[in-house]
Amino acid sequence: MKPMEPKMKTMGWLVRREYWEHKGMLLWVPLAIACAMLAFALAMAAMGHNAEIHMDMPEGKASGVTIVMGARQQQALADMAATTYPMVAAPLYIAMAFMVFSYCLGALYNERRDRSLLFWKSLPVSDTAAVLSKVALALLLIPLGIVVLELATALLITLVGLAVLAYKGTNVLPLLLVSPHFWLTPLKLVAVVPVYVLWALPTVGWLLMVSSWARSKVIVWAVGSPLLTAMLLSWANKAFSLGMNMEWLFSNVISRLLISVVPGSWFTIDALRHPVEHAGAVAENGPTAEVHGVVDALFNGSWSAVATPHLWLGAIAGALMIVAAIWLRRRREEG
Amino acid sequence: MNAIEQPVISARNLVKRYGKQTALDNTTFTIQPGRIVGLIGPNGSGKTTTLKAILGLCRFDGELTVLGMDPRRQRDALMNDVCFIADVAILPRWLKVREAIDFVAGVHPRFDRSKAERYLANTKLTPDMRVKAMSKGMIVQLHLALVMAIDAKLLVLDEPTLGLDILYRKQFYQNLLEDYFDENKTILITTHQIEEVEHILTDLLFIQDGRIALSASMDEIGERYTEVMVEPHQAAAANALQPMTQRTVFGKPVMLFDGVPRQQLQNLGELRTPSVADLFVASMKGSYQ
Amino acid sequence: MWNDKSPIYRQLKERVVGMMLDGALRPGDALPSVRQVAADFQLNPITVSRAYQELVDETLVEKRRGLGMYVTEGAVEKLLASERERFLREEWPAMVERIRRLGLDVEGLLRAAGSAQ
Repeated sequence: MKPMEPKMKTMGWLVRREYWEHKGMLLWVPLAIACAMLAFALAMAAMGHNAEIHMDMPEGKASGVTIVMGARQQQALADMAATTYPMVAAPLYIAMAFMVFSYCLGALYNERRDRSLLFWKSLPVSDTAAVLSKVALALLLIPLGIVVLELATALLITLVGLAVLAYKGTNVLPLLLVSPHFWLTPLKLVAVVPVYVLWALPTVGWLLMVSSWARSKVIVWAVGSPLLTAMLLSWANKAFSLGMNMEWLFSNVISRLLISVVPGSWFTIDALRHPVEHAGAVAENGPTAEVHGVVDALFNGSWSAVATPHLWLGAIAGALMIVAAIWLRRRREEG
Repeated sequence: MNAIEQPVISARNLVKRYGKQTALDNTTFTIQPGRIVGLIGPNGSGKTTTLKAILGLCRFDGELTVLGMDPRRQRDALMNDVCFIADVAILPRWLKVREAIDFVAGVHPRFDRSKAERYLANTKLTPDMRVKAMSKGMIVQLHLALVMAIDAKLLVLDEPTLGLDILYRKQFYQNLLEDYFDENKTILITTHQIEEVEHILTDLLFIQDGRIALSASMDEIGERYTEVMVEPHQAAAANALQPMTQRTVFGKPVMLFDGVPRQQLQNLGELRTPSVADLFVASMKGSYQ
Repeated sequence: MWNDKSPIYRQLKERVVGMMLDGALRPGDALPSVRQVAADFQLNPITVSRAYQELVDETLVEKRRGLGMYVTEGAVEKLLASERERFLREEWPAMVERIRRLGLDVEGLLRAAGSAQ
C-alpha cells in the first residue's frame, strides 16, 4: 500500500493541473463577471441611483440630495444590509452552475479527444486519483472559490451603496459592522457548500461518466439521452396507458441528473421550499426587519435537505457513477 | 534471486482479439536487461498491441511479466519504473514547459529536475512556452527531456521520431545514447525507420500476424544470415543451397541464406551481412502480396 | 559510414587503429568514452565496448580505472610492425604479381616513385 503523503501530494498536483488547463474558465470568467457587476454598481452610484434602498421611510425625509433617516430606520437598514448583502452578487452563482456543468462534461472527454490521455497514463498516477481530482475541483474548489469571490464582490457593491448613502447624509456603516448578522451570514453561506457538494453529486457523476464514455458529441449524449429517454417513456406512458408517474421521473431522475449543479436547486423539493415561501410572505407583509427570516429559512432549509432521502439517494447514485467513470477511464482501449 | 538473470519482459502465449481479428496469436518472447530491442513488423502485425499489453493499456490472455509485475494488475506500480513515448501519447496543447516539469517532478518519484533542465538548456524551449506554440520536433524534445530525467528501468518508444525532420531525429537517438542509456536500462523501440536504429540495436524481434517471426541478437544475425552477390556461373550451385530470397542487382542475383556456413558460400561470390531492412523484407514474404 | 562486409565493431576498431597510425591518437592519449562514441556514431554501446575490448586484448589500449581508455606506450610501434609485416607478407607479393600480370616493369616503377618524392 502506498503511504498517504505521496498520494496527497499527487492529488495536489492533479488539482493544479486542472487549474492550469482551465484557467480561463476558472479564473478569468468569474473575475470578469465580478468586475462587471462592481463597475455597474459604481456607475449607478455615480449617476445617483442606488438599488439598495427601496423601503418606506416614515421617520425620515428623502430628497434628491440628502437622505436623513431616524435611528430605528438606520438600524433596520443596517440589519437588512447585513443579512442580505451576501446574495447581492448572485449572478456569480448562476455562472458557477454553468462552470461546473461544462467542466464535468469535458473533464474526461477532452483528454481523449486531444489524445493527451496516454501521456497522462504514462505517469504513475492512478485513474482513481485522476478522476477524484476532477470531482474535487468541480464539487469543492469551484464552489468555494465562487463563494469567496461572491462575498468579496457583494461586500464591495454594498459598501459602494452605503458610501453613497453616507455621502447623502446617512452613514449606517458603523451599525453594519456592529450587527452580528454581518459576520454570521457569510459563514452561513460557506456552511451551505457541503449541502451543495452532496446535492450536486448525481449531476457531477452523470456528466463524468458520460464524459469518460462518449466517443464524440458528449453534450448530446449527456443532455440528450436522459431527455430522449424521458420523452419515449412519456409517449409510451400515454400511448399504452401504463400509468407511470412521469412527474416523479422528471423531478427525481432527469432533473437530478442534469440540474443538481445549480445552487439552491434543492428547493425544488416542496417540503424544503414551503418554509422559505412562508417566511417570504411574512417578510412581504410585515416590517422589513423580518427579511432576515427569509434568509434564515434559506439556510435552514438548505441544511434540512441533508435529512431528506432525496439527497442521499442522489449522492449514492452520483458516487456510483463516479466509480463507473473511473472504471471506464481505466479499461477503455483507445485506438 | 539473481537480478541480472531476470528478464525485463517475459511474454508467453499472448492472445488478443478485436472482434474477429486476431492481433496477438500466441505471441511469445523474452527481453533481457541492458538491451536495446527493435520490435519490427508491418502495420497490423500486432506491434502496437504488444506495446499496449506491456504498458497495461489493454486486456489480453496469456502470461506477461514486466519488471516482475503483471501489467494488468499492477499497472500503477509499474508506471514508476516504465516510461513511454508514443507518437499517440501527445502532450496537451495548453501545457507550458514549466508546468510539465513541475507536474512530473511532483508526481514521479524518480524524476531528476536538474537533468530535464540541463537537456532543455540546449534547446530553444523556454519555461513559459506552450505546446501549441511548438513545432513537432520541439514537442518531442520536451517529451524526451521529461523522459530522460526519469530513472526508469524500461523505456518503450513507439515510433518516437515519426514525422520529425532529420535534425531532430538524429538528435533524438544521440541524446538517448549519450545521456540516458546505461547497462541498467532496457529500451524497446518500434519504428518504420529501420535504417535509423539498425546500429544501435542489440536484439531484433520481427512480428507478423501476431506471431514472432524472428527473435535474435544482432550478433546471431551476423553469424546466421549471409547475403551473397552470386557470380552468374555459380547461380545453380547457389540455388541448390536453398536461399531465403533472391533479388537482382546489376544483372547479378543477390541471395540471402539462413544458417548456411560462410565457408560453403565463399566461392559463390561476394559475401556480406544483410541489413536489417533486407532481412525484414525477406522474412515478411507474404505480408505484402 | 559502415560497410556490410564485416561486423561493425571490427570496423570501428580498425578506424581507431587507423587514427593511431596516422598520429591522430598518440601514446597516452585518451580514447573518447564508450557513451560518447555510441552517441556520435549512433551505435549500441555494447558494440563500442566490444571494439575497445579487442584493442585492450591486443594491448594497443589500456583501461585505467576511473579514468577511461588510453593508448599504450609503444602501441604505434607495435602496430607499424604488424602492419609492415602484413604488407610484406601478403599485400606486396600480391601487388608484384599484379604488376607483372599487367606487363609493367617493377624496377622502372620504383625508380619513378623514388624520383617523384
